[in-house]
Amino acid sequence: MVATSANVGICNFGSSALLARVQFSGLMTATTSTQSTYQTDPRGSAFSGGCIEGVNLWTNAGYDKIVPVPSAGCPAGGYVPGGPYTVYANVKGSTFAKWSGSRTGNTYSGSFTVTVTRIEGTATLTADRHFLSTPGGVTFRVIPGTGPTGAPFTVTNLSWSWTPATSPNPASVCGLPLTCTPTVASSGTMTVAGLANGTPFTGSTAIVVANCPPTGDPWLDLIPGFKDTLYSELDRSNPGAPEGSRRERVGAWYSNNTSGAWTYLPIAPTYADNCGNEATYPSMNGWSLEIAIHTHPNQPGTPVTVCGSMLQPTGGSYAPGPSRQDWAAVDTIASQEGHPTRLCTIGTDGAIHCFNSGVPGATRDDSIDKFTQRPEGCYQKETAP
Amino acid sequence: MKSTSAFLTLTLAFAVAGQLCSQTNPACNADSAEVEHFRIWAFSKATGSATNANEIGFVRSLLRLPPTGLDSAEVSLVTDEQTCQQARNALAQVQGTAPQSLSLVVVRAGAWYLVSDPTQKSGEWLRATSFDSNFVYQGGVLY
Repeated sequence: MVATSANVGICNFGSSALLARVQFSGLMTATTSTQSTYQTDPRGSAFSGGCIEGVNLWTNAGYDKIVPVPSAGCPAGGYVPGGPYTVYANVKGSTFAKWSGSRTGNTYSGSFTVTVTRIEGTATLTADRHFLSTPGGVTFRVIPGTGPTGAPFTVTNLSWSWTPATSPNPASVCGLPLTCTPTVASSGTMTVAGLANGTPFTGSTAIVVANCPPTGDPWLDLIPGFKDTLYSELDRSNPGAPEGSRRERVGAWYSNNTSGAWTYLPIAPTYADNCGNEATYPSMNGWSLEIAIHTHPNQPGTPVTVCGSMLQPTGGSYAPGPSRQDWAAVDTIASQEGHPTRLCTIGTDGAIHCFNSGVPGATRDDSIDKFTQRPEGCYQKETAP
Repeated sequence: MKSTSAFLTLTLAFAVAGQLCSQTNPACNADSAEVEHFRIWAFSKATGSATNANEIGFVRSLLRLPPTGLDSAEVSLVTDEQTCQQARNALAQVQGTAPQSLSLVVVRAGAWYLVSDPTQKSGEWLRATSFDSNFVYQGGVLY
């Protein structure tokens, strides 16, 4: 017989908040001062719109009080239906269950079980690029998995280490943040270890730095990260996905009118699918738009079966290189900027095509510079045989 | 009076509709920018006169053009309406569309015709189709 309330010890979850599954089961019988009885599951019964009886879960860390209120709330003046039930909650510290049968004059009998189970956490390691033609920055991120409530797991105790391909000895980098952005000077492997909702995890990803020879093209060779950015944008276009899930990606390179520094601006198109985009290239005060870029996430020569809503007629395959609209777009941008501009595309085969806008009053230069990727990942300019 | 007014309105509506139906779409496209773009594109593919030779060869294979480039003198823009009409009849048959809906840029390349309708867009792409001298379909590509 439980007179008014009772504590049930459970366990200590440590100092970090952890997502846990809390399962309640059992049956309690309440006897009132007038000797009438009623049965209730561990959620207890309702009184004046609140749950005044039932099992509560507490932590001594004062972090979370888990009141097992049913999703529909406690019905005023009624009883909570019987049966086991489950809630999810963040717990930490020494956690215990408490029967809060506090209605004056009532006594209780029966038993209940409270099971608290930490959810197994997950996390993955990503890198924004895996190939660098020359040394440069790489952004590594730990992406926490999501638990049954849809919220991402808390990741703690992170440690990053970089192991160069030429050395077996890893070096500690970055520290605790979920994002690590080192300058990668040579090929190697990034490894991360940590806890996701208390579950140990590790991840590693290899980075290749090819130290490519110059292509001979001033833009490809001299703008830091130009080729790698194109390649990353192609990756984000989902080139390996079904046609309907691919999206062209758009961006532009600007040069600073004073310092000559370069910056890349990803552009969100108003519409994009696997075979087209509609984008506006913004003008930036103090900067000149020099090169517009976008991706063609299609393999030249492979049949086209989906093209947004505009495939007229069905069938056919893509030619490599720029589309008719690309030629028109580069002229539109040049007119907007007031100076000649360049447009580069990258296809699923990794080939980069670049060409220039027309110059008013002059014969248009219709030549296209094509750069193909060699097996080791470096680009070379295709030349006449 | 009321019924007379209604009759006149109806008559005008039919007259306008009749005028629209009588408009014809020229078989040879007259958009000079589009004509020039396709002429240059087709010329480079037919003659192989470009630095990216491998790619040109790839497109030539899709269009089933001969592997070696034609002499530039063999490549020319077609402007006579009769040939354009033959080309669009052939393309309409391939596409299963009405010939009148098409307006083509046609380039003669040796024994081949390369044709494109700049009004028919597939996303950011246009379609080039090749026919032999008898307007038998050979191949096509989005460019």
